[in-house]
Amino acid sequence: MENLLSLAIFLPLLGAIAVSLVRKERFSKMLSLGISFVVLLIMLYLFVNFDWSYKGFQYTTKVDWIPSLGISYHVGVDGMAISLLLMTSLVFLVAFLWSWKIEDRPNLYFALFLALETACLGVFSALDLFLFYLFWEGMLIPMYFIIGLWGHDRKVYAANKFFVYTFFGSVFLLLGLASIVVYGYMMTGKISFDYLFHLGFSYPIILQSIVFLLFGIGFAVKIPMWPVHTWLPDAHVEAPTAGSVILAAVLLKMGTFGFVRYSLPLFPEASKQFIPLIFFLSLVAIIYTAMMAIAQTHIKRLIAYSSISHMGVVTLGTFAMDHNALNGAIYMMIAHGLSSAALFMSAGFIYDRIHSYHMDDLGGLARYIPKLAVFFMIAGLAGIGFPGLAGFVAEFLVFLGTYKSFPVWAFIAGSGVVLSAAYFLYMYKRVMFEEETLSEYRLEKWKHLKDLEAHHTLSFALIIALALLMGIYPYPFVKIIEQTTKYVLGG
Amino acid sequence: MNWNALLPELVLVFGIFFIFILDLFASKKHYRTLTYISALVPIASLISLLFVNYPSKTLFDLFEVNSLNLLGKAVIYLLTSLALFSMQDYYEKKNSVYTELSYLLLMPTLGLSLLLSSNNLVLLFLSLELASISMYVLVSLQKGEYFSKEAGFKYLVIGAVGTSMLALGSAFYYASTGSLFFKEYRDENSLFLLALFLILSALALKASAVPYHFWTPDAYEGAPTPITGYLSSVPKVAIYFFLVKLLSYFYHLKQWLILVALLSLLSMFYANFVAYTQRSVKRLLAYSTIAHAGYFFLGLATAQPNLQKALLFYVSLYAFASLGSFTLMASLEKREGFSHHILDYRGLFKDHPALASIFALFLFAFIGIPPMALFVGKLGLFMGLVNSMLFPLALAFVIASIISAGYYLRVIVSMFLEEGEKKYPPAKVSGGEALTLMVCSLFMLLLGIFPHLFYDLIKF
Repeated sequence: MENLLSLAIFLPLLGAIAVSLVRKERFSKMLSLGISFVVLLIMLYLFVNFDWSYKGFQYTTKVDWIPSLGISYHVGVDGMAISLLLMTSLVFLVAFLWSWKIEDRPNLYFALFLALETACLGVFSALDLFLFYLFWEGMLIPMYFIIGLWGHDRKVYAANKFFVYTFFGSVFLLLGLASIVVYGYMMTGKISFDYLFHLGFSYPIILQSIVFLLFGIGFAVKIPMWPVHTWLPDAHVEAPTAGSVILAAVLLKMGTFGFVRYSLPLFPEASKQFIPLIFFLSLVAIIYTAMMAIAQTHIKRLIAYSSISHMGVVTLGTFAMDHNALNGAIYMMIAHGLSSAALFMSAGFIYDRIHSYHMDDLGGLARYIPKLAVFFMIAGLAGIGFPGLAGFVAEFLVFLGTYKSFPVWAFIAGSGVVLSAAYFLYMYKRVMFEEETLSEYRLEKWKHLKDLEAHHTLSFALIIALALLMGIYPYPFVKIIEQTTKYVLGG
Repeated sequence: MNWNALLPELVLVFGIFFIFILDLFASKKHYRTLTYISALVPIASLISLLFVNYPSKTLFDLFEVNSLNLLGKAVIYLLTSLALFSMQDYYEKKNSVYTELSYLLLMPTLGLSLLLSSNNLVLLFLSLELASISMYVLVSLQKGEYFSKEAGFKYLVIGAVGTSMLALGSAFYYASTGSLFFKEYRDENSLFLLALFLILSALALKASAVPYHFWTPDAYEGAPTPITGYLSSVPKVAIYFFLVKLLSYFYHLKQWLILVALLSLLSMFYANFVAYTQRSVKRLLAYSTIAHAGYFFLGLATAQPNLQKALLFYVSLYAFASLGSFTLMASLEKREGFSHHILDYRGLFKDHPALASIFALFLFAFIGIPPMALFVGKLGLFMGLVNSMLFPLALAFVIASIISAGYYLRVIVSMFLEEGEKKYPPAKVSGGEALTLMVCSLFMLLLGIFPHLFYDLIKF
């Protein structure tokens, strides 16, 4: 029971080793699917049994690991972490389902995804700074090769850009970690990387500001915030569909997760001090990247820009210093994970069938692949915050909370969100309708298009089901997330 | 006379003599056997370390044994043994068998082992010369290879400059302090500072720090690849262990900090930028060595046990990664027509997934990605620098290591993500090479996940 969380973290890694040793295609697929399903069941079990009235971390395991450096294997979850873990394990299951028919080097593909799953689950559950960084960087190598080996035309460029940007951020993060650990050592004479040990400190304001910025660079690159966002569109455009799904749904959340888990509680004064900066960057992200999205003709690039825009809403809510806003921000992380996963799956499906992402080559698809058209619409509506779907609850909470203390910022941001409806509906129109712009040749070709297969439908259904549930009945989710909000903001 | 303190060196000396005599009667076909015997000599020295009583001094206090330099010796013996195991197949395949090679590689190790214990400028000079001269020979010892001669000559010429700097520095040191022993000397004067500058420059030259790095790319590229592996690992470890000792005598000088910081900043930024223009992977790794010299010199900025611990951990593990990658390149080079041009590495993953993965492991380790052991060294350096209030240096380190990521990635890209045009016969990895690769990559992962197995051995 206590070690269920650790089991879930390392099961995929064991699977990765098994897959790379056995190297049988059938075995790889079955094992990956099986393991990700087991992990999802474990996470569901932990989620259901999570005690939201209990303050503090749950399901913790602590084992001494490197005693002379004060590093221990320490994992545990709070409300935010368990919700993100649930979303992560669901999205990975969907990614494996989606990749069911992959033909190019399937064993390596599944091994890398399994390794990636361990790293992602580890980031959200680590309670030791060293362990956190290990998982944080651990995700870099599998994702690099996923983009680089299975990507599209400019995959090498995109993979390198992804690697260098992310590495750029994480070295600063490492320096930040080292600084607070050394400060703890100088104050108490004890080296410790334990998160709870550092939670008890109040750092001097100078150190807080410096380390906040160092952490901030690391997280901002991952989120990504404007102006370090330029790696994301390239990475998304070139990545294979399942890679994009994981990238958008899980990897981007690591940055915002880092802000809530580390920056806010460890550096409360510095966080207040940097509110204007963060708000400014968030607003630029919300409005500028949404406008960039409108200007795109490549559907994957459009969705990538929309991700950056939505992550701007998350950072806005995170730093509004309000319970509702923070609840909304965390809710948004999960909601966006689901909606962006579904959107990238739609884009990937279109590419599978038509071999193009460009709006000029598309159009009129609603008549020929109607099932996809339905799911695509629901995914998009979830993304733009349509009532009844998860995104609405999130955006509502964020703007409600932000409006209380920062009405002007909230007003500008809120009007910026209108743009999201514009770019999505524009894309939908160009891809699904506008049959009259198509040539005879294309229409003839479209007639033979095959609609969603069983594994596609199942993938969509899983994601949409959770997005619907979170939209219609948000109570348990908000309650669980609130457990985190309470200790982060106090009260 | 305390012979016990000299035990490991004596084992080496007798081993060298023994193989020397065997070599007189052996023909070329016994080359392999001779090399294997000679590879066992450092292992014997390694075992003999267990019987050394420390701390103690001998040779009229010139020679000092303590836990730290014993650890340094253990590391260089292990590295030497691995280098010897891996090198014989390369020379056989390259048709360049000299039976002398078998014991010649033990000579620099003997010199560096003496260096680690030396307490006095005379012994420092002698041991460093023993090591350097044997290395000049090793670099140029390849049949019919013009580049190797050229590399040896360049190394000799620039090495001679280092030697003369050391000699001149020693003379000034004697003039200002009246002694050739290292000691904490507080009566600073310009002559003493000049002496310190010259001695540090000579050592920086051996450690290939900018601006004393000019021999490094040429010697590394021209030397037979197993020898490059040796050059980039064993002498580096010894020099840094020695520099840590030197630091304990001179840390109070503010000039020391300035000098070391300057050397390190120059090295990391110069090498990391110049590495981008390289086409040969071997030369690229030579620049990576220079950049690492810059990182390592950061660990010598001030006396702070945590900082030096991190430095020694970092440099020891770096040596294993470096030896491993050059061994791997040597085994690739045995194929006909393979130069180390980056284009020759294209498609390596397709033909040799295991070799490409191991090379990628080392390259990711150089970048400093966990869970590879070099990451812990990097983290330790960060913590040590922050602890000594040298935050700007830590920031410079961050920026330099970000810059460095790109050129390592280019090698990875060509191995994994690009298709090769030329077809080579499959690379055959000899038993010795496999052993070296296995030990080095195992160390990289094992000590990355459980660094305290080695970290706790470094005691001050």
